[in-house]
Amino acid sequence: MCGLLHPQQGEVEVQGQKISALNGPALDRFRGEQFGIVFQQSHFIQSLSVMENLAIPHFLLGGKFPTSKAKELLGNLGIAHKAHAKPRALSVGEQQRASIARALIHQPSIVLADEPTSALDDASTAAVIGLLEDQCAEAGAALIVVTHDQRLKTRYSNRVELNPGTPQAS
Amino acid sequence: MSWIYLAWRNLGLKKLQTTLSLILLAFGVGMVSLLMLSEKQLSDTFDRNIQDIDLVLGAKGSPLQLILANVYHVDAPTGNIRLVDAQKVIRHPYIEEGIPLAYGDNYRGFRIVGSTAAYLDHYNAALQAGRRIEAPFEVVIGRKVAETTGLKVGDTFFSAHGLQDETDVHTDKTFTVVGMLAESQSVIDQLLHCTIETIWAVHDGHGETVDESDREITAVLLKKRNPLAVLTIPNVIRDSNMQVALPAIEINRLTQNFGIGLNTLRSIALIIMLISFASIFISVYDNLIARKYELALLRTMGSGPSGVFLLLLLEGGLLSFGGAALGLVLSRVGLLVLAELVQDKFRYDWSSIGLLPNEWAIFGVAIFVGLIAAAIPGISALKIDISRTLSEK
Repeated sequence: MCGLLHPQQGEVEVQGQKISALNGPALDRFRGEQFGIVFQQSHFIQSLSVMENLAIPHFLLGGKFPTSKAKELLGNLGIAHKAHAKPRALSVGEQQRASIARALIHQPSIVLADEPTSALDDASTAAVIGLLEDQCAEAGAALIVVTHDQRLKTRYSNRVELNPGTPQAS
Repeated sequence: MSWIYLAWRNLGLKKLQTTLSLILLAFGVGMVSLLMLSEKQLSDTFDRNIQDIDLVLGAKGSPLQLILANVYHVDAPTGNIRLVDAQKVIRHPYIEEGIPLAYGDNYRGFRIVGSTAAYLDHYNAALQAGRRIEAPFEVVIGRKVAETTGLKVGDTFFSAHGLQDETDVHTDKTFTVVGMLAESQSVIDQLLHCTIETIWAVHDGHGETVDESDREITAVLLKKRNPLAVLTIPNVIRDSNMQVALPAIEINRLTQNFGIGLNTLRSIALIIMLISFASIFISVYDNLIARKYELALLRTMGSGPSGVFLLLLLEGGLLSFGGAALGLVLSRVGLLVLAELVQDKFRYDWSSIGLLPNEWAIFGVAIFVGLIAAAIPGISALKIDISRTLSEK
């Protein structure tokens, strides 16, 4: 959906832009602007601190990095004290929260979360998904969660379940 | 945040690998540049001193020794020649000018050379203090001599027999410093200048009169009027104890003999440089594999493929720039050390350390090849499949 893979058939349209028609740098840029992505496993630029990692979207897309907003975001996510630590020094849960902060920092219109809770225990799952929902609501971004985690399914009214057959809306 | 900052931090993450690449490149570039510098200094020193000396006339022996002794004053002379014989050559129509030299004494290791005013004129010597030589036992000293011995205008001293040691001092003859030369960057900086008569007087016994036809000198520096002099003069002096040598040819021979060693060193330096480029290549490529996720991540956050390519290029560029710059610094340090050693032995001053045109070329080539070494993995970074990379693991 965010243009990492090209559709074999049909079209993908996001915010009125047919992204299946975009290519290369334009697609990278569109994706960067419109989407915040939380991956199943958190990836960071290992040589940079958490704070510097948060600054990357603004650097890549242009625009001034809102330092105070980044601090606030990290504070809301409970990892303000790790702002200047290297990503490697964070626990899995903290890394996941840091990647949520990074997905939101540039105010994307859509946040994509790919199995955000698969590596987490019940308590952390509740905390992370809660934060994800709160932060998206605050930023006014749509949240799309891809998961096979039973713990999450009941939380959402809009679900697309992919079965080996055809997708069914429920 | 900028691409350079990111590249810098990425290099910092792999300190050992980065340091290895830097050291290798620094040594490669440093050695090549040191060779260039010392060759340049050597040939400059040789050229400055040869200037317009076409032939050197002296006693039979090694022609190279004759040149080294009389043009550069770094070797012992081949012997003495009779002034009357030398004058036949000086007055030969094919010879424009002959500068006679007579020496055999030293003051604290510096040679006292008797000659005519033409000798100092030949090297465009300028007086820094005092006046020129007007009478026997008056001495004008070169800049280097003044600096090392502390002699000043008005000082007096005794000479020692021989060219090196100071054991046999002629305490009966007093020299007086009447002038000091400005620095000329040539051999005259390292000599004490007086008249030929002074040298004769030092060695004459007391009250003894020497027949003019028995007067001896050490050598004559000749400037030719006609190119045929090179062929004719050897015939003129065939039956004497004299020989002529061509400075240009002897020095050429000398540097060619040096050249074999220099070429070996040069090859070693080039091999070190090649290894360092391989090291940069491996370093960037290694980073590419280890950081495939990071690069894919940058792409998902809005960097185009060109940004990722630029990042890798910058990493290679910073490495090669740093290494090459370090190498040039290293070669300067090396030259200064070498200059100290050479100065002790040959009393030649190698101090100019400006960047040679060839060094700019080496610098440019090093950075260029470093960029190429980074561009190869960079191209494969362009082809990263973001989706597949991120879903691996």
